[in-house]
Amino acid sequence: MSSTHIQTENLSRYYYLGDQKIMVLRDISLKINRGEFVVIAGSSGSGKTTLLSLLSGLDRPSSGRIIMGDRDITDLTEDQLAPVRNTLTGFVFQAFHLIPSLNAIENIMFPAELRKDPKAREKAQSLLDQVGLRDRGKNFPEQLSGGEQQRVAICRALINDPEIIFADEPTGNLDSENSEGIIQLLVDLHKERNVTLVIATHSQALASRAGRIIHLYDGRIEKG
Amino acid sequence: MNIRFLIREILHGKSQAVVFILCVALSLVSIVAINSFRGDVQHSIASDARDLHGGDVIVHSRYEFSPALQQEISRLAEQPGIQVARTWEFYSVARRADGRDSLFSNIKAVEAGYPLYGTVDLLSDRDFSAVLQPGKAIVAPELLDRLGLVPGDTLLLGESSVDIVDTIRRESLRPVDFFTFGPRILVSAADLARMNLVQQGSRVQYETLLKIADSSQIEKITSQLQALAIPGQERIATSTTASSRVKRFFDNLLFFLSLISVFTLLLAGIGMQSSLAAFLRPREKSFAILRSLGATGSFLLCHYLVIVFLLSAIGCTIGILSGLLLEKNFSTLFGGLLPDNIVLGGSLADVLEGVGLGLVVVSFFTFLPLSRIQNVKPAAVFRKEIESGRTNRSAYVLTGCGIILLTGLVVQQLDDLRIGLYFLGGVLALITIISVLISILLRLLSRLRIASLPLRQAVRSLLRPGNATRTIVVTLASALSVLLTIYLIEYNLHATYIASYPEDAPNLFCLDIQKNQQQDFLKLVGKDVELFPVIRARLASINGEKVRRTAERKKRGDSLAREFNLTYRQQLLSDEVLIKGDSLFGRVSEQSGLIPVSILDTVADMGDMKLGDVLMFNVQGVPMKAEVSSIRSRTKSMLYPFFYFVFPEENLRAAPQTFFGALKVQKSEIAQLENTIVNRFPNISTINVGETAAELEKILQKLSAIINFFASFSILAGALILVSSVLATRMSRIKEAVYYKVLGANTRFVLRVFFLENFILALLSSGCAILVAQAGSWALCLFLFNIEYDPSWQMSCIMLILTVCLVVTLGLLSSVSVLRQKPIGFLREQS
Ligand SMILES: Nc1ncnc2c1ncn2[C@@H]1O[C@H](COP(=O)(O)OP(=O)(O)O)[C@@H](O)[C@H]1O
Ligand SMILES: [Mg+2]
Repeated sequence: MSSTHIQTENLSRYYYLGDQKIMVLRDISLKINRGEFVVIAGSSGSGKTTLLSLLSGLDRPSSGRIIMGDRDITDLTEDQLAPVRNTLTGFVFQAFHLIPSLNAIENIMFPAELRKDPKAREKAQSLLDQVGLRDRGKNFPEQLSGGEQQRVAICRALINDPEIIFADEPTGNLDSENSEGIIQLLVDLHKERNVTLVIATHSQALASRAGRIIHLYDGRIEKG
Repeated sequence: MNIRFLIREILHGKSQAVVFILCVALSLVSIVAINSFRGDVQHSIASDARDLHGGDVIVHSRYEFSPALQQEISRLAEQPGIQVARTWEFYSVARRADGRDSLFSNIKAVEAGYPLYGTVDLLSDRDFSAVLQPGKAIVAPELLDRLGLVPGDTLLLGESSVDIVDTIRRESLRPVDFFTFGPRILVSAADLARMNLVQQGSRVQYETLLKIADSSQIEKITSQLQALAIPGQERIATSTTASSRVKRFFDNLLFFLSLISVFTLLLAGIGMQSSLAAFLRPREKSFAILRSLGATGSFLLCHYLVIVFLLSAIGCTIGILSGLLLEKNFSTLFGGLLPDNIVLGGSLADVLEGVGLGLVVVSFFTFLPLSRIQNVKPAAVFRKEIESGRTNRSAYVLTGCGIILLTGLVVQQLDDLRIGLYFLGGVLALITIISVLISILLRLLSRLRIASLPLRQAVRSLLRPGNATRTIVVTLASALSVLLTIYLIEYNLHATYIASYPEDAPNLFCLDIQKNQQQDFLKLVGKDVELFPVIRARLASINGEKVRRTAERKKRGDSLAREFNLTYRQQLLSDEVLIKGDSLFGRVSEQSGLIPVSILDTVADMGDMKLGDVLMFNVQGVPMKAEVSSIRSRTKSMLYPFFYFVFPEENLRAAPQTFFGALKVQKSEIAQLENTIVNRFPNISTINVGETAAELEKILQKLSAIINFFASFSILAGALILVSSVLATRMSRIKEAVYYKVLGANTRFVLRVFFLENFILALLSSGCAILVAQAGSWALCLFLFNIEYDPSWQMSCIMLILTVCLVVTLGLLSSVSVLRQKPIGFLREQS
């Protein structure tokens, strides 16, 4: 197994607003190694979310290629991406994005149930225990605080033991106390499970814990 | 007023706006069409009531007029300025001169001068009174076709022959002619005696028309005649008060169609309300922002009132115009049922009525969602989920007023306070029952432990808060249940009255067999046919309480005031059972000295009669007091001959009577036998029951097509609500689909969840509808129509399948767009 886990070649992403072409990402080429903890930093609007969604296959690049492990995922269809999203990667969002009609434990179980894992419930419960939400499994997302929701979301990202975890400003919607908890959780997780962790953030606290920081400025990687 | 704001707001929710407009339009279409149609029908059959009835004063009886009345009429006829024409109408068989063919026909003998008002238009365009001389006949074209005759040929009627001189194009006294079985033959009254068809006990409608030059005299003469008439037997009416069968038929039909249209209106109203609420809901956040920026509640309300007004105006216009357009084309729908001189089309009054109706309906159904706007608090900006504004007390008061207004509208539309209230109560009960059922089912669903992931997700989405599941299911189920009930009732009536006519049942009825013809008749048909004596009589009172003619006539259904055929025999018929009393006549006569009478359960229900009740009959002028000795019930088809009242032989043997014979003949031999009978006994009428049933069926089918047509509008309302809710929940569906995909679900999974969600929705709606419709139809058949009930499950299944297809297709269509796209776009919108 090669040590490179994610690799991009001349990745670009632009939008058209009417006739106007808006370049959001230009010629991004990068490599992320297996087990690495990478932070993508940059000011608001610099293209962090866009880059992260390209890396994870939630968006399709305008040009360039993305290779995950030894598989080129650039041109995969949504259905071909489904098993990748289900088992290889996990995603944590700034806005949590829990399924509102499911309670905490059901939200966590969901990816495991999709792959018909008979141990889904036990795994979910043990994850909940680990993040200190043992008794909140029956609560629905709207009955949980932001920090609690984000912890549930992290559990959900972990349940299928993914190789890579993407997190887009996981502390962006939280106060400093809760942020600290989430940061610690992510750092521990990286250590214990040896997953590849890619986080987009402009939080200094989080960036300082990373193995490597990729700075984005106006859609390009800043050298230096 | 900020015009840009208005336009922007409308464009933002344009799909819901379209649904709202369609609901407004739908609420008006059928009701405007029916109202306009009612106007046209009334205009055509009563534009000149005198043309419809043929005179200023109409004297009618089923018997020879009583001497006093007859004398007075003759005296009046002598007076200047008063013209009188007598008519006799009855059914008999017309035969070809060579005896090869015959036809059951409607014969009307008229005196010179007939009709005093209106016209009988002839194909030759000649003058009716000049053509109809003694010895001549003017016939309906159908008669010539069926008997293979042409004008100039001879026709045998009773014991005489007449020459056919012309054919009828149109009679103003008979604007619709599907009520009469058998074609019309008009002959001169001078030929009556020669025909010898008007005999004792035969069914003749005696009518005398009076034309009074001085219209101020009409009232006086009417009451003068009234004073001489035998109450309950001889009817005096003026052209304005007389009711006609045509008018009654249309009154009943239009009443029923009105019921259906009002039901559609209510459902469309629910649609208006839910689409408006869906239109407003996504805007509540911006309302809160606008309010926090200083916009007042009334600023928002004003603008939204204008928006609703604009949308409603468009909806009303579409509704009224399509209603009138629809009515213009009613001739296709109603076919041969329309009066021949009807002019279909809308008038200004129809439009104004539609506008008024629209105003009431729209304001009632949009009031609640609109009143919420004003109550959106600026603080809602801070909350994630916006609570819908509370309704305050003044809202309840206004809602109360609205309900009264709506009730008034329904009552006015149905033109009957009691039935209007019953109807509203019924609709309310229907909706409540269905709501309760749905609540129970939804609660059960939420308790269920479901192993399959897609199914569980589908159920969860249905139960998602803010989802309009309940509203959709309740409206859809209400519409479907009404439609299915109508079908089931039709089906069962048809099964009982027409389809189930048993193979071995008699198929040829012979009426008016005279007492002295009995032996010869039996010899002629060469079979052992049971002849039932028939004595015509009226029911005068029950336990001393008078049977009121006017009240009875108003009833929809059989009337106790009509003329009944009494009979006498000593035993039950093979298709009868006793349900009360231990023998047909019990021991009544020994105890009370009254004549015992056995009655049929159906008539017992009509008059609320019990064992021991005392019934007063009027047997052609002779009073007869009887006591109910037993109650019978029938086990076979309704077309089997039956008698409401059966007496012991000794009490009625002497009364004036004719006999009725029911024969079972091979189909191919019916025509031949009819010929033989009527050639030998011209006064006997034969009725080919199979043919009559077919004729009846044609009319029933026509009517049910009409009713189904109007009922299907209510389904449209259900579909509109479905569309509105699919649109309203589109965002949250898409959100869920994106979440599924992000977590690694494939297209198949997402499709399965969507499919199952809609499938359950459809199953719930149609399941409830079937349950309610089956229970309702069963009760109606049993208690109202007194017929056996067959649930006809095929139709329920078909409805279930159709509903599932419709709902699933609609639901999937609105959600598939999300499947191929990359999730990130939607996720951004959500954060
Ligand atoms: N769908 C879109 N259409 C047009 N511009 C977009 C779209 N999505 C993102 N952008 C633009 O791309 C730029 C980068 O956005 P994003 O990746 O969200 O930045 P970040 O996450 O670093 O704040 C922003 O300027 C944003 O306006
Ligand atoms: Mg971002």
